This record gives sequence, C-alpha cells and structure tokens, in this order.
Amino acid sequence: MSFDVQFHHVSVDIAKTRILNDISFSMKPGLLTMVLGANGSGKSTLLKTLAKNIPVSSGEVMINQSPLSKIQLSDFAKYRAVLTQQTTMSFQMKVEEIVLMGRYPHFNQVPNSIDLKLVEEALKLFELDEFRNRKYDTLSGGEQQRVQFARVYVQIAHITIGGILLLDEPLTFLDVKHQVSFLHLLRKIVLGKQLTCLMVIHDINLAMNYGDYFLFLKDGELLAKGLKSEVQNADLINMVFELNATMIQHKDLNFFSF
Amino acid sequence: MGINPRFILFLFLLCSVFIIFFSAIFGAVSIDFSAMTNALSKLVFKSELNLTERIFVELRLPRVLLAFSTGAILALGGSIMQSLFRNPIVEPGLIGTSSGAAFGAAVFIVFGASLNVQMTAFALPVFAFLGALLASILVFSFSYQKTGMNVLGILLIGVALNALFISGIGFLSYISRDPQARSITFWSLGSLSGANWQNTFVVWVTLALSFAGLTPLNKQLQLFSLGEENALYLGVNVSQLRIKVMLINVIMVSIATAFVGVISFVGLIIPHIYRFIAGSSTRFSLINTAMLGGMFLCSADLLARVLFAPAELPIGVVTSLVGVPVFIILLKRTHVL
Repeated sequence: MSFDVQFHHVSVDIAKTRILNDISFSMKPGLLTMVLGANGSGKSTLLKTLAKNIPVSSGEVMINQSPLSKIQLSDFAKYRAVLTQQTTMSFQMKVEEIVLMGRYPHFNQVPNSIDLKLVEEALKLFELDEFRNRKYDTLSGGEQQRVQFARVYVQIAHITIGGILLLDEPLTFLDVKHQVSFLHLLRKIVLGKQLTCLMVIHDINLAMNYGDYFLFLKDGELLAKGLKSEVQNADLINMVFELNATMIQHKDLNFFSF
Repeated sequence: MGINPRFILFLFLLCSVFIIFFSAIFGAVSIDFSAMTNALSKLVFKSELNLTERIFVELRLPRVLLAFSTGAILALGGSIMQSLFRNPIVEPGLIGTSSGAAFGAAVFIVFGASLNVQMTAFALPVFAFLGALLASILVFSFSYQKTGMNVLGILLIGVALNALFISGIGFLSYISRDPQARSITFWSLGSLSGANWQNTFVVWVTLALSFAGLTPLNKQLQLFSLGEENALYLGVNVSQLRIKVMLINVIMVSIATAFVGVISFVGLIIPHIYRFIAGSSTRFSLINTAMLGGMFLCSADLLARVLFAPAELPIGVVTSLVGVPVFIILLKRTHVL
C-alpha cells in the first residue's frame, strides 16, 4: 500500500515559541522530497511532526486521508520508518541484532520466518553480510550509518509497494564517497518500493542532484516548494540562506557556487 | 562470549537448584542430605521434627529462598534500570530507593520504642518500605516536568537525595545509643538473618508479579539501546514505558530491601556478568539475569554464614568483597577499561 502525505496549514509551537507556521504541501509515493533551509529554520521539527514525535498545534497532517493524530504510534511504526543523524548504542550489540530491531514493531516475543528473511535480504542489500557478527562499536561511522539504514529499511520492508521513509540529516557524519553511495542506494529503494520519502539535507548540490521535490524553509515559514525546474535558481537559494551564490552549468547539470 | 541463551536457561535452572540445596546444607549447623529428606517427609506427614530438622525447615530453607529471591529482584532491577537509563553504571537503588529504605529503618530503630510502634515482625520492614517509597516519590516529583521526565534530572536528583538520606542515617546513628547504632550499621549492610516463611513468601510473590509485569515490556525496553527517539519511531510509547518500568522497580526493590536491608552491588554487577556470558542476545535475558542474581546472593549469604561461623558477616560486606574484584576483572577482560 502506498501513502499520500498532506500537510494542511500545519503550525507547531514548542514551549510557546512558534517553530513552524502555516505549512502546507503534499508528498507522493516514489518521489524523494528534500527539505532545505538554514539551521533553526524548522527542518527537523517538520520531520518530527510527520514522524509523530511532535504534535501539531494547529492544522492537520493527513496520511491517505486519515489524520495523523488519530493513528496509533504502534500502528504507525509498521509502515513509517525514521533514520536519524547518528545512533550511538548504550550496549554493545551485533550488527544482525541491531538490524533485527527494525522488525520489533511486527512481532510479539519471537521473530517469525518472514522477519528473519527480511533481515537477511537487508543485510545483502546494504552489503552488511560480512559484518553481521561484528560489534557495532567496532565499525566506522559510514558502516554504522549503513547498519542503521538497514534497520530502518527492514522496519517497512514487508510492504511490497509503499511505505513512508523519513531521513533527518543522515549524511552529516559521512564522507563524500559514502554520501554519494548512500544517496544512490536511497534512490534505488525509493523508486523500487515507491516509498513516500522525506529527507532533511544540508548540501544543496547533492539535494538538487538526487531529489525530486523540494521544500525551502526559512524561520518556520515554507518559502518555496516545487520540482527541481521550479526551484533551482540562485535567487531563491540566496534568499533562503542569505548568501551570494551563483549557478554554474555543467553538461545538463546545474551547481551552486558559494 | 555469546552462549546460546536457551542453553544458559537450562544450565542456570540446574545450578539454581544445586546452589539452593548446597547453601541449605552448610552453616553453623551442618545438615546432611538424610536430615533434609527426613524433615521434608515429616512435613508432609505432619510428624514431630527434631532440632536439626527444625533448623532446616524453619531457619535454613526460608533463608536460602529469601536470599535467592532477593538476589533475583536486585539483578532484575539493575538490568531494567540500566536499559531504561541507557547507562551501564545505574543500579536499582539509584533513584533513592535503598537509602530511603535504610533511613526508614533507622528512624524505626532509634524512635520506634518512643513512638509506641507495635513491635511486630513486620514493623521494621513497614518503616523501611515507607522510607523507600517516600524517597522514590520525592525523586519523581522533583524531576517531573510537564513535557515528560528528564532522565538526567532523575539521576542527579536521585544522587542528591541519596546523599541527603545517608546524612540522615549518619545523624540518627550519632544521636542513638550504642546498640541502636550497631543495628543501624548492620541493617545498612544487609542481613538475611531475619528470614522466615512469611517474608520469604512476600518476596517470592513480589518477584513473580514483577517478572510477569516486566516480560511483556522487555522487547520495548531493548529498543531503548537505540536511544529514546529511535525507540519512539519503532512504536514505543516512551514516557509510559519509563513510568511503568520505574514503578515496578521501586515496588520490588522497596519490598526486598525492607526485609533484608541494603545489599549493594548485586544490581550493578549481575547484569554486566550476564552480558559477559550471553553476549547481547535478548532472549531469556530477564529470567537468566534474575537466576544469576539469585545464585550470586545465595552463595554470598553462604559465605557470610560460614566464613566466621558461628558469627555472621553482614551480606553487603561479602557482595562487595566478592563483587568488586570480579567486576574489575570483567571490565578488563571486555576491554571497557
């Protein structure tokens, strides 16, 4: 089952401060939506609102025509997965045990054969087979993020077509090589499974080259939204980030220089 | 390491039975196997017991069983609190429970007679339980915020209140007469000498109920190792789980502590030792950790009874003397240090 997501005039207040103001947009399955904006613009709050971590103060988030506030957290966890910046484990664990945790919302006491099969597939897809018995703490930052990505993927992997995937600055602690391979894999999964995907990202050039749809936030307001052709211009970037960037064309790709 | 948890379960069950019987044999009076079987069969047929048999039935057996259940409760408490706080140095008494219990007991020892409290066998445990409850409620109410409970806040306030209650105990020892001060010291180091069938029964029922309450929460609790935010994204109602787990911990540790006094270190080291044996596997982790705690305290109580027999050591002294070196060796072996 694939999911349409809609924000209807959503505002969020935290400790009486308005963090998001009157945000409206919609997301379609199979498209990678990139959220861009300066620090403190409300990007993470937007993602956490959609993840059901922070409640809306007014407006409504709709998932396939039903309000998010009416969906049980434990039900939501069966088709919505979230990858955060970096995850430190409080206890030493093996890679395969961490990936299996993605299946915890689906079984009661003991994982069934489907859970175990999905974990096996994820270990192969994310090229973690050789690490499966390694302790998480002994992996590099890039490998750790791949383990967490596999865990997040496996949470919604039972849905043949569809699912909601949210990523909160997952590239922060990765080098350029790992950033690119991460985005390649992400695109492949989003397209293949027709996921409804939202990603908070800092790198404008990477976002433009891998995203399908874009949201630009500034001081809690949604300044612009649209497809690449609609938003890829220096004026908008300069307004959002208060910069003097120029756009450079190389073959059929555009890049910003700051 | 990382031994199969099902095998550990089986092994621990056997060892538990063995250790319970083994500790029942030794003590100031040795009880051989035939005396045990005689006593048990006489119990069934309700015939008169001789002195050795009475020592076994009325003193030794409840004591050994009380030691086992108390150790199990402390180890369980340590295990769940370490998961909840995502911190390996947490122990069950951290949120004020143990020092509160000791303070309650000290108040009873010093003022019990002048307060005209009925001197029944349950008077001191009731005071200790109320002390533990009072301390835990204070920690909760000080760290409560509208947005939910702040974990670091609970830890800091727990540490502060522990210090306050320990000063209170020190003050009570200072103003009391010598025998009372000795009782306070004895109680603060823990002792199983007050074991009888009544309190053993209460502690076992507490253990069984707590275990039944924790089993369905264990899977969610394991997700805390990913951090509270990730646990929430995996469908865990974080604040509700936190309250449930802390409530069960406070109740079971208060009750156990009320009867036996403050026994340090079991709750801290047993979960670590279990993780060393079983690795990070979560299957049967609750029951295995509980059994390991039970076996440890049974053995510690045996040492407390026989090392200077017929005199007894406070059990807290034994658990620390045995526990600290074992703990440090383990930390070295697992390259934490």
